[in-house]
Amino acid sequence: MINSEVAAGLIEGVDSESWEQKGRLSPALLDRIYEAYFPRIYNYLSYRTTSQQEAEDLVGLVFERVISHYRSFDPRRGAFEGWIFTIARNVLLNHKRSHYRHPESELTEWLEGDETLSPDQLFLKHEELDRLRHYLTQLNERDRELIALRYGAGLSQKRVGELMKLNETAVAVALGRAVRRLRLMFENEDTLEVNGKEPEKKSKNKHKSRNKGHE
Amino acid sequence: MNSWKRFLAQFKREQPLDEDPVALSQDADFADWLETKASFNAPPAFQNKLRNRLQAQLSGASSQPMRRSPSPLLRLVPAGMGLVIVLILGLVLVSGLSVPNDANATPVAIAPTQNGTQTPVGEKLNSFYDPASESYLTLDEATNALGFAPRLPEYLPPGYKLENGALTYPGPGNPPGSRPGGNNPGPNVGPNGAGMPGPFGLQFQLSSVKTAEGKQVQVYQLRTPFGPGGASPFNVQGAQRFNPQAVQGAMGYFIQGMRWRMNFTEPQAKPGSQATPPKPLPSRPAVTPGTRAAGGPANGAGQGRPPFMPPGMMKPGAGAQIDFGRNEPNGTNRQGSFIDFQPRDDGKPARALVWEKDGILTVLVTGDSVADDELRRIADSFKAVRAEPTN
Repeated sequence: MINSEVAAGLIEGVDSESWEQKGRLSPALLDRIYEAYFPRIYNYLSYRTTSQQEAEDLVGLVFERVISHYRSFDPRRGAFEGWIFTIARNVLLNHKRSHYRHPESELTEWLEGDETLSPDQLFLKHEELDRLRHYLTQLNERDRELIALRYGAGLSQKRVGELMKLNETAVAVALGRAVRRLRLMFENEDTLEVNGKEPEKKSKNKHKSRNKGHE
Repeated sequence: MNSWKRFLAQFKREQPLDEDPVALSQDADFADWLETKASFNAPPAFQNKLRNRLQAQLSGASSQPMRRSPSPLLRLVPAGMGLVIVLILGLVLVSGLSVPNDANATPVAIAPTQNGTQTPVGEKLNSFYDPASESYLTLDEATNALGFAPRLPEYLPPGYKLENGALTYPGPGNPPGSRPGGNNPGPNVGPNGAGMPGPFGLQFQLSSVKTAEGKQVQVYQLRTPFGPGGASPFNVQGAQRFNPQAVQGAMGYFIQGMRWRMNFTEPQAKPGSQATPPKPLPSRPAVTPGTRAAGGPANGAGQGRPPFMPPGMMKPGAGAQIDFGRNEPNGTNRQGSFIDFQPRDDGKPARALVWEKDGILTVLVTGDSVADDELRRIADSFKAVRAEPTN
């Protein structure tokens, strides 16, 4: 999901050479940033929103802010990855403040993104992503943000901790619980009350067959 | 007491997970699925469209002078001035003084814009992206680099603007002499010095301010290899519609279709020929390997590649791709050059208006948003924005 080499190379480039050009964002550098971070930011926002349209609107806003605020990025204060995902989280927060609505997820996700899958597999993947988005909305805000940052944005637990002001151990524990809640939702196939009550443990090993189905 | 209960409840919730190895294994599998498979992919069309918009936004921002935020003291100046004005007005009113009757404000005339925008030539597009140096050139610099003066439209449909100007280069595998305009190429401006061939043409687009998909007119411009008047008549293959259309007194053509090729034969190779009706297009344009010119960035083997465009400007406008190339006489192809029009992303046919005047070939490509009359009006308004360079 994450092209870590590209991301690592980009972070290095942004941290050293480009910033030494007094923070000027060139078209080529913007293109590199876009290539490396668009999929991750889009994925993160898809984990945190309820429709493709919302994610598309927000990812545009994120990159517009990257352009307008690029001069404020200072590599001495932190890595580019943390900076850009801070922007993404702020954009999301502002959006949620101004649009307090939770429409049902739409069945309009892009189906032709993976050419290695057959039409049937694509449909199944689409269905699973739709369910994932639905169950994510059932999680509490912190669990959802943890999962979105860790698996949607592909950030390390350390980076997630920096962004959420938690230590790494707390992130690991909370993330483990959030993953289990989400998994049980998938397996129980119904909405669970997660705030304060542990969901019923019911293992059907569906995620294993899900993994095999895509391989 | 309540806070103690809340603390206990929180503590209970955040206890480490149980050590059930089966459950832990299932959690790990699920986390692996989340990490590797559960990714939402954006539609490529959206991704490209956003990239184009951001690049255009960046180029617009870079042409603006950098503004520094004023110091807190300076921010108070307007408020102070406003206060002074209010005080003076108050004094005037209180003292019974009156403003002279002849102190009227001068009315400002605003030109009507209902029938489109009349753009001062060269005023609206003064930035051309140069992929060789990854920088933006002014209109004068672009003129010198190209070896001819760009033609820009004076008329724009209502709500449209000029943007995304860029120079186009021949592929590294193509000798400069084989490209259109190769007999009189522009000066070398590549970053690598004399070994780098110069740009052979330019492209830009007219975009609706509303940025609706397809509401664009893509413009390609280059110098023909055979001089003024040598390009007519054309021969078009594969088009659904093909109508001669005079543009600025020169012969041009409206062409509509999913995929078509226009051959324009050099005068000495095909004297006295007439424009021919559309013919079926072969499955792949026959191009002698190694002779394709000026189309793609690394295109010496005759493979079909889109023309080079700056990052973020790939396939703008109607999403069509255009190749310019040069045929060599090999029995099936007569000597001459061609324009190869590739399908749009959305599978819809595009319309093009092509004409040659004063040795400059211009191609306008659009979808359904601009009517034929409007397209012709735009074409008729094209004018050279600078004097032709002497070298």
